[in-house]
Amino acid sequence: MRKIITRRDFMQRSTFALLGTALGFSMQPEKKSRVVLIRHKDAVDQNSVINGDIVQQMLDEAVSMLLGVKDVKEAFQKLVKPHEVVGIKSNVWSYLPTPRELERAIEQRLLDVGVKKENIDVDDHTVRTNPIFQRATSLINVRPLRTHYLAGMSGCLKNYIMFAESQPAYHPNSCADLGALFKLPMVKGKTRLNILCALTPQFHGRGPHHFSRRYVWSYKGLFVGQDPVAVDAVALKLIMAKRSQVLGKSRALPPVPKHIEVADVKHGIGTSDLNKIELIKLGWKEDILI
Amino acid sequence: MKKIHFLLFLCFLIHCSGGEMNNLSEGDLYQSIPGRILNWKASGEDAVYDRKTLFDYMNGGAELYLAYDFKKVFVRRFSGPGENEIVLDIYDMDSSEEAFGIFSLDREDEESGIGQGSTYGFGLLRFWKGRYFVSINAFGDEQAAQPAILELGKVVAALIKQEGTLPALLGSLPAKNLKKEKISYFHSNISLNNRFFIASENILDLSSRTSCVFAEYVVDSENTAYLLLIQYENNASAQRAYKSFIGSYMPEAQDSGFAQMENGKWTMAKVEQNKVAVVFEAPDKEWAHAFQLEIKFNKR
Repeated sequence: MRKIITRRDFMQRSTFALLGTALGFSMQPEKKSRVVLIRHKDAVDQNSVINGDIVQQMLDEAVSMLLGVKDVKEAFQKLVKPHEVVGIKSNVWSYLPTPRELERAIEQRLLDVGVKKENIDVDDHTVRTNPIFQRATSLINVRPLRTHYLAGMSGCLKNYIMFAESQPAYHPNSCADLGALFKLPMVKGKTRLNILCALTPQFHGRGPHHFSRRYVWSYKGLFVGQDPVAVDAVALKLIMAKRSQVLGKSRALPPVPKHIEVADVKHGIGTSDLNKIELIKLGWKEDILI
Repeated sequence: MKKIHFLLFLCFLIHCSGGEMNNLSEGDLYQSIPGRILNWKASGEDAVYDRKTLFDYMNGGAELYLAYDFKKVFVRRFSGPGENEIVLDIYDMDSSEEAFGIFSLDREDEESGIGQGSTYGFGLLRFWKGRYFVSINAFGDEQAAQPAILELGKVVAALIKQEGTLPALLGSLPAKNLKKEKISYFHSNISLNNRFFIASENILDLSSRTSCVFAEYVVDSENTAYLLLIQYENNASAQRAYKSFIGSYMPEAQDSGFAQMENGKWTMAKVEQNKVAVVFEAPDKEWAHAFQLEIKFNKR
């Protein structure tokens, strides 16, 4: 029987952090899932303008570290081959979309490794009917980090909901089964890289569209990993730390994002237990929170 | 000719019945909203979304509205200086209780004195009046939009003539030390989770058939206790939910209904007739016991 997570599970941990441990999971992966968090203090300026060159540099460093390869091109060559068709699954949510600078940085590296321009596309809402995504042999998953009124958190796992024939079908039980999206035929086994953009993440949502600029802050970071569950699990830790800092400990938790653990335990697509995730932190450390 | 006059009169009567607000029909309400507020002008087409189409409008938040008796939302956009935009949403929530409910779920800003209850902060005005919940949101320069937002809010509130009543369940709350501005009214687990996370599963069996009030109480200058009061369809449903809660949340409480939490605070649960009350974060057992005696379980 699935363990129910309660408020009490988080009282036992002063940091409110170890969600995976709260569930008591005992799956033993052979090796830890690696997640790279990279930050740069000049990635976003005071007017919220994103510096594309710095974003490119951050992406390059993070992917190189993730794959343990010094040369950027070589690192991306480990992800995709020149003959491939690559879909970059982005996010166009009008209030906090994937920054164009980040999409361009990914595209640039795909071109650098020899993928043809006509075999690359960036899309969100129309991925199911997009010919590139229909033919895609590889996917790159990229979106901004934010809270979600139903799922708790919108991260890499939730970003694939546009691949679903029926999005509402994934809404029951706080979107618990979002992990199943990674088993859809259009997606299964194709995701090479997950990038959760935390340049300006949103830690709380209000109003009819769950967005208010006051709950967005310049964190100036990117989470990068090959395991979408691990990336989301680490990012949740950041969201909870920020909520605790600003809203108070009693509100550290958004509606509990159980889909992260379910993606691990039920769907087996990644690792949610923070004890089994290797988090590598690069760059700017001020107010890093995690 | 008389027949035609009679038919016209009949049409008028029908027009003035259901969906009416003190002789102002819903269509009239929408049409009465000015197309210009200060130096902001209505832009684009007005739109109306119902329970089936709300997802087309809201990418984030629709289920929160659908967890109430939401009927439809009227949307008008206003464009102002520069790239700035104001979006007016008028939600028909079917009853004043439901309008108050959706309003009450999210009250983090200062009261602005508009409608029967309101908050304004950072370009977001929210208020309720009668069976309507209204949201006016700025996108872009929030400070520049503030005068127009507040003016538009006053205009819309004035157009809604009929006020409404609060949910009767609020009458069961102990009055002493109650933070009135923090009371929330809702039905479903999704709303509770957004207000105060208790568990990953629906251990209190909340649904559209339950009515819930969540309230905050001042314990002392630094501490707050919370009361969740739920009214079920019948006594048996309340008993089942109580047992489920005890079993899932604090099995050590057994028949007493009291348990000390990991943070040293106390949680107390009680079932009486068709209501279940749960007190969270009580400073001690005696406080919780005295507090639960103040809950008016029998109030209809």
